[in-house]
Amino acid sequence: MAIPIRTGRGNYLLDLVGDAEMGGDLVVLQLKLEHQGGIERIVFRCRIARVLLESQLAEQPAALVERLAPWIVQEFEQVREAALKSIRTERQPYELSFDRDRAGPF
Amino acid sequence: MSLQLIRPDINIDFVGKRHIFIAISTAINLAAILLLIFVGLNYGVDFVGGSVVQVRFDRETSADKIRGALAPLNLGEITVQDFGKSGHEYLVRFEKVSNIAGLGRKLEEALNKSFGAKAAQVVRVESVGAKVGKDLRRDAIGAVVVATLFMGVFIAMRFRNVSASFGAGAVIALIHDILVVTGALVMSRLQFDLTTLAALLTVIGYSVHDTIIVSDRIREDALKRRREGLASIMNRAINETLSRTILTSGVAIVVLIALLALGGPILRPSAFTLLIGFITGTYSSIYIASPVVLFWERRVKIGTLSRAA
Repeated sequence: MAIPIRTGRGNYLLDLVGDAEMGGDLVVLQLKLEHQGGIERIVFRCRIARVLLESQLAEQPAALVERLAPWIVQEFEQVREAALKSIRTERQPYELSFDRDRAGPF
Repeated sequence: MSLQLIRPDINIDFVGKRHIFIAISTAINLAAILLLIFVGLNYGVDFVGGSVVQVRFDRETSADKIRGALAPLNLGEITVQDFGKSGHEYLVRFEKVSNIAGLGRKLEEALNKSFGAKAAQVVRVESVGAKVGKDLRRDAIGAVVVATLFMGVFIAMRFRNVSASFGAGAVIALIHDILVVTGALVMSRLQFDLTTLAALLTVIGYSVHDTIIVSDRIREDALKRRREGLASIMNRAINETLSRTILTSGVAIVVLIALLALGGPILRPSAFTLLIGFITGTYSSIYIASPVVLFWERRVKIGTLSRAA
Protein backbone atom coordinates (compact mmCIF):
# COMPACT_ATOMS: atom_id res chain seq x y z
CA MET A 1 0.00 0.00 0.00
CA ALA A 2 1.42 3.38 -1.04
CA ILE A 3 2.44 5.70 1.80
CA PRO A 4 1.79 9.40 1.22
CA ILE A 5 4.67 11.68 2.19
CA ARG A 6 4.81 15.44 2.27
CA THR A 7 7.91 17.10 0.89
CA GLY A 8 9.09 20.54 -0.10
CA ARG A 9 8.32 19.62 -3.70
CA GLY A 10 4.77 18.57 -3.00
CA ASN A 11 3.03 15.35 -2.01
CA TYR A 12 4.55 12.08 -3.09
CA LEU A 13 3.64 8.43 -2.72
CA LEU A 14 6.25 5.91 -1.55
CA ASP A 15 5.37 2.46 -2.73
CA LEU A 16 6.86 -0.98 -3.17
CA VAL A 17 7.37 -2.16 -6.75
CA GLY A 18 7.20 -5.89 -7.27
CA ASP A 19 8.27 -8.47 -4.69
CA ALA A 20 10.97 -7.91 -2.10
CA GLU A 21 14.13 -10.03 -2.38
CA MET A 22 14.56 -11.85 0.91
CA GLY A 23 17.59 -14.06 0.38
CA GLY A 24 20.79 -14.19 2.44
CA ASP A 25 21.92 -11.36 4.69
CA LEU A 26 19.99 -8.66 2.89
CA VAL A 27 16.44 -7.61 2.30
CA VAL A 28 16.20 -5.74 -0.99
CA LEU A 29 13.17 -3.61 -1.79
CA GLN A 30 12.43 -1.95 -5.10
CA LEU A 31 10.62 1.30 -4.33
CA LYS A 32 9.10 4.15 -6.26
CA LEU A 33 8.60 7.77 -5.30
CA GLU A 34 5.77 9.22 -7.34
CA HIS A 35 4.50 12.79 -7.27
CA GLN A 36 0.78 12.77 -6.70
CA GLY A 37 0.31 15.17 -9.59
CA GLY A 38 1.98 12.64 -11.87
CA ILE A 39 4.80 14.98 -12.93
CA GLU A 40 7.55 12.85 -11.49
CA ARG A 41 8.33 9.21 -10.66
CA ILE A 42 11.63 7.67 -9.66
CA VAL A 43 12.36 4.04 -8.99
CA PHE A 44 15.22 3.10 -6.67
CA ARG A 45 16.38 0.15 -4.60
CA CYS A 46 16.81 -0.16 -0.86
CA ARG A 47 19.15 -2.78 0.64
CA ILE A 48 18.75 -3.47 4.34
CA ALA A 49 21.07 -5.74 6.30
CA ARG A 50 19.04 -8.41 8.13
CA VAL A 51 21.02 -7.84 11.34
CA LEU A 52 19.26 -4.47 11.70
CA LEU A 53 15.80 -5.99 11.61
CA GLU A 54 13.74 -7.93 14.10
CA SER A 55 12.91 -11.32 12.58
CA GLN A 56 9.22 -10.51 12.16
CA LEU A 57 9.84 -7.15 10.55
CA ALA A 58 12.28 -8.66 8.08
CA GLU A 59 9.45 -10.73 6.53
CA GLN A 60 7.05 -7.81 6.13
CA PRO A 61 8.08 -5.54 3.24
CA ALA A 62 5.11 -3.22 3.76
CA ALA A 63 6.17 -2.62 7.37
CA LEU A 64 9.72 -1.88 6.21
CA VAL A 65 8.43 0.74 3.77
CA GLU A 66 6.37 2.28 6.56
CA ARG A 67 9.48 2.46 8.75
CA LEU A 68 11.47 3.98 5.92
CA ALA A 69 8.96 6.69 4.97
CA PRO A 70 9.81 9.29 7.68
CA TRP A 71 13.52 8.91 6.91
CA ILE A 72 12.83 9.47 3.21
CA VAL A 73 10.96 12.68 4.08
CA GLN A 74 14.01 13.91 6.00
CA GLU A 75 16.51 12.98 3.31
CA PHE A 76 14.15 13.60 0.40
CA GLU A 77 16.21 16.04 -1.66
CA GLN A 78 19.36 13.95 -1.47
CA VAL A 79 17.58 10.67 -2.25
CA ARG A 80 15.59 12.26 -5.07
CA GLU A 81 18.65 13.82 -6.71
CA ALA A 82 20.78 10.70 -6.33
CA ALA A 83 18.01 8.49 -7.70
CA LEU A 84 17.35 10.78 -10.69
CA LYS A 85 21.00 11.18 -11.56
CA SER A 86 21.67 7.46 -11.15
CA ILE A 87 18.91 6.52 -13.52
CA ARG A 88 19.72 9.29 -16.02
CA THR A 89 23.48 9.02 -16.09
CA GLU A 90 24.37 5.54 -14.82
CA ARG A 91 21.20 4.01 -16.28
CA GLN A 92 20.62 1.92 -13.21
CA PRO A 93 18.47 2.40 -10.15
CA TYR A 94 20.03 4.15 -7.20
CA GLU A 95 20.84 1.80 -4.33
CA LEU A 96 20.19 3.05 -0.85
CA SER A 97 21.98 0.81 1.64
CA PHE A 98 21.49 0.39 5.38
CA ASP A 99 23.93 -1.64 7.45
CA ARG A 100 25.58 -1.60 10.89
CA ASP A 101 27.61 1.52 10.02
CA ARG A 102 24.65 3.37 8.63
CA ALA A 103 21.44 2.11 10.18
CA GLY A 104 19.19 4.97 9.08
CA PRO A 105 15.65 4.39 10.34
CA PHE A 106 16.39 0.78 11.31
CA MET B 1 66.32 21.41 1.15
CA SER B 2 63.31 22.84 -0.65
CA LEU B 3 61.07 20.81 -2.92
CA GLN B 4 61.22 22.13 -6.47
CA LEU B 5 58.85 20.49 -8.89
CA ILE B 6 59.72 23.03 -11.57
CA ARG B 7 63.20 24.54 -11.90
CA PRO B 8 63.24 28.28 -11.16
CA ASP B 9 65.34 28.93 -14.29
CA ILE B 10 63.02 26.99 -16.62
CA ASN B 11 62.85 28.46 -20.11
CA ILE B 12 60.45 26.67 -22.44
CA ASP B 13 59.73 28.41 -25.72
CA PHE B 14 55.92 28.59 -25.46
CA VAL B 15 55.56 31.58 -27.75
CA GLY B 16 57.79 30.12 -30.47
CA LYS B 17 55.65 26.98 -30.69
CA ARG B 18 52.33 28.81 -30.60
CA HIS B 19 51.45 28.19 -34.25
CA ILE B 20 51.31 24.41 -33.76
CA PHE B 21 49.04 24.72 -30.73
CA ILE B 22 46.83 27.34 -32.35
CA ALA B 23 46.38 24.99 -35.32
CA ILE B 24 45.49 22.10 -32.98
CA SER B 25 43.10 24.29 -30.97
CA THR B 26 41.43 25.58 -34.12
CA ALA B 27 40.88 22.03 -35.35
CA ILE B 28 39.42 21.00 -31.97
CA ASN B 29 37.15 24.05 -31.89
CA LEU B 30 35.88 23.40 -35.41
CA ALA B 31 35.19 19.78 -34.48
CA ALA B 32 33.31 20.98 -31.39
CA ILE B 33 31.20 23.38 -33.47
CA LEU B 34 30.35 20.60 -35.94
CA LEU B 35 29.44 18.27 -33.06
CA LEU B 36 27.20 20.93 -31.52
CA ILE B 37 25.44 21.54 -34.84
CA PHE B 38 25.05 17.97 -36.08
CA VAL B 39 24.88 15.95 -32.85
CA GLY B 40 23.93 18.48 -30.17
CA LEU B 41 24.10 18.46 -26.41
CA ASN B 42 22.11 15.86 -24.49
CA TYR B 43 19.79 18.38 -22.85
CA GLY B 44 18.07 17.36 -19.68
CA VAL B 45 14.33 17.85 -19.37
CA ASP B 46 15.08 21.14 -17.54
CA PHE B 47 16.11 22.69 -20.85
CA VAL B 48 13.90 20.84 -23.27
CA GLY B 49 10.62 20.94 -21.40
CA GLY B 50 7.80 18.45 -21.78
CA SER B 51 7.83 15.01 -20.18
CA VAL B 52 10.34 12.20 -20.24
CA VAL B 53 9.35 8.67 -19.30
CA GLN B 54 12.02 6.00 -18.96
CA VAL B 55 10.64 2.49 -19.42
CA ARG B 56 12.36 -0.81 -18.76
CA PHE B 57 11.18 -4.00 -20.45
CA ASP B 58 11.83 -7.56 -19.38
CA ARG B 59 12.37 -8.53 -23.03
CA GLU B 60 13.84 -6.91 -26.11
CA THR B 61 11.46 -4.69 -28.02
CA SER B 62 11.50 -1.89 -30.58
CA ALA B 63 10.54 1.77 -30.73
CA ASP B 64 7.83 1.02 -33.30
CA LYS B 65 6.12 -1.52 -31.05
CA ILE B 66 6.19 0.95 -28.17
CA ARG B 67 4.68 3.70 -30.34
CA GLY B 68 1.99 1.26 -31.43
CA ALA B 69 1.20 0.32 -27.82
CA LEU B 70 0.91 3.99 -26.80
CA ALA B 71 -1.09 5.17 -29.82
CA PRO B 72 -4.53 4.49 -28.23
CA LEU B 73 -3.70 6.89 -25.40
CA ASN B 74 -3.71 9.86 -27.85
CA LEU B 75 -0.90 11.61 -26.07
CA GLY B 76 0.12 13.76 -29.02
CA GLU B 77 3.52 13.69 -30.65
CA ILE B 78 5.93 11.33 -28.93
CA THR B 79 9.57 10.45 -29.51
CA VAL B 80 10.78 6.99 -28.56
CA GLN B 81 14.51 6.62 -28.13
CA ASP B 82 16.53 3.52 -27.36
CA PHE B 83 18.35 4.15 -24.10
CA GLY B 84 21.14 1.77 -25.00
CA LYS B 85 20.38 -1.42 -23.05
CA SER B 86 20.03 -3.75 -26.08
CA GLY B 87 16.42 -2.90 -26.71
CA HIS B 88 15.34 -3.29 -23.08
CA GLU B 89 15.16 0.34 -22.08
CA TYR B 90 13.61 3.30 -23.84
CA LEU B 91 13.01 6.98 -23.31
CA VAL B 92 9.60 8.24 -24.35
CA ARG B 93 9.47 12.01 -24.73
CA PHE B 94 6.31 14.06 -24.94
CA GLU B 95 6.44 17.69 -25.89
CA LYS B 96 2.96 18.47 -24.67
CA VAL B 97 0.65 16.31 -22.61
CA SER B 98 -2.80 17.73 -21.95
CA ASN B 99 -3.37 15.70 -18.81
CA ILE B 100 -0.18 14.81 -17.05
CA ALA B 101 -1.78 13.33 -13.94
CA GLY B 102 -0.90 9.66 -13.60
CA LEU B 103 1.15 9.70 -16.81
CA GLY B 104 3.50 7.01 -15.56
CA ARG B 105 0.64 4.72 -14.54
CA LYS B 106 -1.23 5.22 -17.83
CA LEU B 107 1.85 4.34 -19.84
CA GLU B 108 2.63 1.30 -17.71
CA GLU B 109 -0.92 -0.02 -18.08
CA ALA B 110 -0.96 0.52 -21.85
CA LEU B 111 2.45 -1.13 -22.28
CA ASN B 112 1.61 -4.09 -20.03
CA LYS B 113 -1.63 -4.57 -21.96
CA SER B 114 0.36 -4.79 -25.14
CA PHE B 115 3.48 -6.65 -23.99
CA GLY B 116 2.10 -8.74 -21.16
CA ALA B 117 1.61 -8.33 -17.42
CA LYS B 118 4.59 -6.77 -15.65
CA ALA B 119 6.57 -6.73 -18.91
CA ALA B 120 7.11 -2.98 -18.70
CA GLN B 121 8.16 -0.90 -15.75
CA VAL B 122 8.25 2.89 -15.71
CA VAL B 123 11.40 3.73 -13.76
CA ARG B 124 11.40 7.49 -14.23
CA VAL B 125 8.98 10.28 -15.09
CA GLU B 126 10.12 13.88 -15.27
CA SER B 127 8.06 16.82 -16.44
CA VAL B 128 8.91 20.44 -17.03
CA GLY B 129 6.61 22.95 -18.71
CA ALA B 130 7.65 23.59 -22.31
CA LYS B 131 7.85 27.34 -21.77
CA VAL B 132 9.95 26.86 -18.63
CA GLY B 133 12.36 24.62 -20.54
CA LYS B 134 12.69 27.14 -23.39
CA ASP B 135 13.18 30.04 -20.99
CA LEU B 136 15.83 28.14 -19.03
CA ARG B 137 17.72 27.35 -22.20
CA ARG B 138 17.63 30.96 -23.34
CA ASP B 139 18.74 32.13 -19.90
CA ALA B 140 21.54 29.54 -19.76
CA ILE B 141 22.99 30.67 -23.09
CA GLY B 142 22.56 34.28 -21.98
CA ALA B 143 24.42 33.62 -18.71
CA VAL B 144 27.40 32.09 -20.53
CA VAL B 145 27.55 34.87 -23.14
CA VAL B 146 27.17 37.69 -20.61
CA ALA B 147 29.77 36.16 -18.26
CA THR B 148 32.25 35.82 -21.14
CA LEU B 149 31.72 39.35 -22.44
CA PHE B 150 31.89 41.00 -19.04
CA MET B 151 35.12 39.16 -18.24
CA GLY B 152 36.60 40.45 -21.48
CA VAL B 153 35.48 44.02 -20.86
CA PHE B 154 36.78 43.96 -17.28
CA ILE B 155 40.20 42.67 -18.32
CA ALA B 156 40.42 45.12 -21.21
CA MET B 157 39.75 47.95 -18.77
CA ARG B 158 42.15 46.71 -16.09
CA PHE B 159 45.00 46.24 -18.53
CA ARG B 160 44.16 49.24 -20.75
CA ASN B 161 47.29 51.10 -19.72
CA VAL B 162 49.30 48.30 -21.27
CA SER B 163 47.04 47.07 -24.03
CA ALA B 164 43.28 46.55 -24.46
CA SER B 165 44.14 43.42 -26.46
CA PHE B 166 44.42 41.49 -23.17
CA GLY B 167 40.60 41.62 -23.05
CA ALA B 168 40.35 40.17 -26.54
CA GLY B 169 42.85 37.46 -25.62
CA ALA B 170 40.81 36.53 -22.56
CA VAL B 171 37.51 36.39 -24.47
CA ILE B 172 38.98 34.24 -27.24
CA ALA B 173 40.53 31.92 -24.64
CA LEU B 174 37.15 31.66 -22.91
CA ILE B 175 35.32 30.88 -26.15
CA HIS B 176 37.91 28.20 -26.82
CA ASP B 177 37.36 26.70 -23.36
CA ILE B 178 33.56 26.73 -23.71
CA LEU B 179 33.77 25.02 -27.10
CA VAL B 180 36.16 22.34 -25.85
CA VAL B 181 34.01 21.60 -22.79
CA THR B 182 30.71 21.52 -24.69
CA GLY B 183 32.33 19.37 -27.39
CA ALA B 184 33.44 16.93 -24.70
CA LEU B 185 29.92 16.91 -23.24
CA VAL B 186 28.46 16.14 -26.68
CA MET B 187 30.87 13.22 -27.13
CA SER B 188 30.34 11.83 -23.63
CA ARG B 189 26.52 12.14 -23.95
CA LEU B 190 26.41 13.23 -20.33
CA GLN B 191 23.22 15.09 -19.66
CA PHE B 192 23.42 18.88 -19.80
CA ASP B 193 21.28 20.08 -16.92
CA LEU B 194 21.33 22.93 -14.43
CA THR B 195 24.24 21.53 -12.42
CA THR B 196 26.31 21.08 -15.58
CA LEU B 197 25.54 24.69 -16.48
CA ALA B 198 26.78 25.78 -13.04
CA ALA B 199 30.00 23.81 -13.66
CA LEU B 200 30.42 25.51 -17.05
CA LEU B 201 30.09 28.96 -15.48
CA THR B 202 32.66 27.91 -12.87
CA VAL B 203 35.03 26.94 -15.69
CA ILE B 204 34.64 30.44 -17.17
CA GLY B 205 35.55 32.00 -13.83
CA TYR B 206 38.54 29.72 -13.29
CA SER B 207 39.89 30.10 -16.82
CA VAL B 208 39.86 33.89 -16.70
CA HIS B 209 41.50 33.83 -13.28
CA ASP B 210 44.43 31.88 -14.70
CA THR B 211 44.61 34.18 -17.74
CA ILE B 212 44.76 37.23 -15.48
CA ILE B 213 47.70 35.76 -13.56
CA VAL B 214 49.73 35.32 -16.73
CA SER B 215 48.63 38.70 -18.17
CA ASP B 216 49.54 40.49 -14.97
CA ARG B 217 53.04 39.04 -15.05
CA ILE B 218 53.40 40.09 -18.69
CA ARG B 219 52.38 43.60 -17.69
CA GLU B 220 54.88 43.62 -14.82
CA ASP B 221 57.74 42.35 -16.97
CA ALA B 222 56.87 44.75 -19.78
CA LEU B 223 57.28 47.69 -17.43
CA LYS B 224 60.63 46.42 -16.16
CA ARG B 225 62.10 45.48 -19.54
CA ARG B 226 61.06 48.29 -21.85
CA ARG B 227 63.61 47.50 -24.52
CA GLU B 228 62.81 43.82 -24.82
CA GLY B 229 60.53 42.45 -27.56
CA LEU B 230 56.96 41.49 -26.71
CA ALA B 231 57.40 37.82 -27.60
CA SER B 232 60.40 37.52 -25.29
CA ILE B 233 58.56 39.29 -22.44
CA MET B 234 55.59 36.95 -22.85
CA ASN B 235 57.76 33.85 -22.86
CA ARG B 236 59.55 34.98 -19.72
CA ALA B 237 56.25 35.78 -17.95
CA ILE B 238 54.74 32.40 -18.84
CA ASN B 239 57.83 30.56 -17.61
CA GLU B 240 57.90 32.59 -14.40
CA THR B 241 54.26 31.75 -13.63
CA LEU B 242 54.52 28.13 -14.81
CA SER B 243 55.22 26.72 -11.38
CA ARG B 244 52.24 28.48 -9.83
CA THR B 245 49.98 27.57 -12.76
CA ILE B 246 50.87 23.88 -12.73
CA LEU B 247 50.71 23.48 -8.97
CA THR B 248 47.38 25.30 -8.61
CA SER B 249 45.79 23.58 -11.58
CA GLY B 250 47.38 20.26 -10.70
CA VAL B 251 45.93 20.21 -7.21
CA ALA B 252 42.48 21.15 -8.49
CA ILE B 253 42.66 18.52 -11.23
CA VAL B 254 43.65 15.78 -8.79
CA VAL B 255 40.59 16.62 -6.67
CA LEU B 256 38.37 16.54 -9.74
CA ILE B 257 39.71 13.17 -10.84
CA ALA B 258 38.87 11.85 -7.38
CA LEU B 259 35.36 13.35 -7.64
CA LEU B 260 34.89 11.86 -11.07
CA ALA B 261 36.00 8.42 -9.96
CA LEU B 262 34.36 8.34 -6.55
CA GLY B 263 31.69 11.03 -6.60
CA GLY B 264 28.91 8.83 -7.89
CA PRO B 265 26.12 9.77 -10.29
CA ILE B 266 25.23 13.08 -8.61
CA LEU B 267 28.67 14.57 -9.08
CA ARG B 268 29.84 12.87 -12.27
CA PRO B 269 28.52 15.31 -14.92
CA SER B 270 29.75 18.36 -12.97
CA ALA B 271 33.10 16.77 -12.14
CA PHE B 272 33.61 15.84 -15.79
CA THR B 273 32.76 19.38 -16.94
CA LEU B 274 35.07 20.95 -14.38
CA LEU B 275 37.91 18.55 -15.12
CA ILE B 276 37.89 19.19 -18.87
CA GLY B 277 37.36 22.91 -18.21
CA PHE B 278 40.27 23.26 -15.78
CA ILE B 279 42.67 21.43 -18.09
CA THR B 280 41.66 23.48 -21.11
CA GLY B 281 41.56 26.69 -19.03
CA THR B 282 45.19 26.20 -18.00
CA TYR B 283 46.16 25.43 -21.58
CA SER B 284 44.33 28.42 -23.04
CA SER B 285 45.93 30.89 -20.62
CA ILE B 286 49.32 29.95 -22.11
CA TYR B 287 48.61 29.02 -25.70
CA ILE B 288 45.56 31.09 -26.65
CA ALA B 289 45.32 34.32 -24.63
CA SER B 290 48.99 35.34 -24.92
CA PRO B 291 49.35 34.60 -28.67
CA VAL B 292 46.17 36.63 -29.34
CA VAL B 293 47.73 39.62 -27.58
CA LEU B 294 50.95 39.12 -29.55
CA PHE B 295 49.04 38.91 -32.84
CA TRP B 296 47.03 42.02 -32.02
CA GLU B 297 50.05 44.07 -30.99
CA ARG B 298 52.09 43.07 -34.02
CA ARG B 299 49.23 43.81 -36.37
CA VAL B 300 48.81 47.27 -34.84
CA LYS B 301 52.61 47.60 -35.14
CA ILE B 302 53.36 48.59 -31.60
CA GLY B 303 57.01 47.65 -31.10
CA THR B 304 57.34 47.41 -27.34
CA LEU B 305 54.86 47.87 -24.51
CA SER B 306 55.99 51.23 -23.22
CA ARG B 307 52.97 52.74 -21.48
CA ALA B 308 53.23 52.78 -17.73
CA ALA B 309 50.54 51.22 -15.57
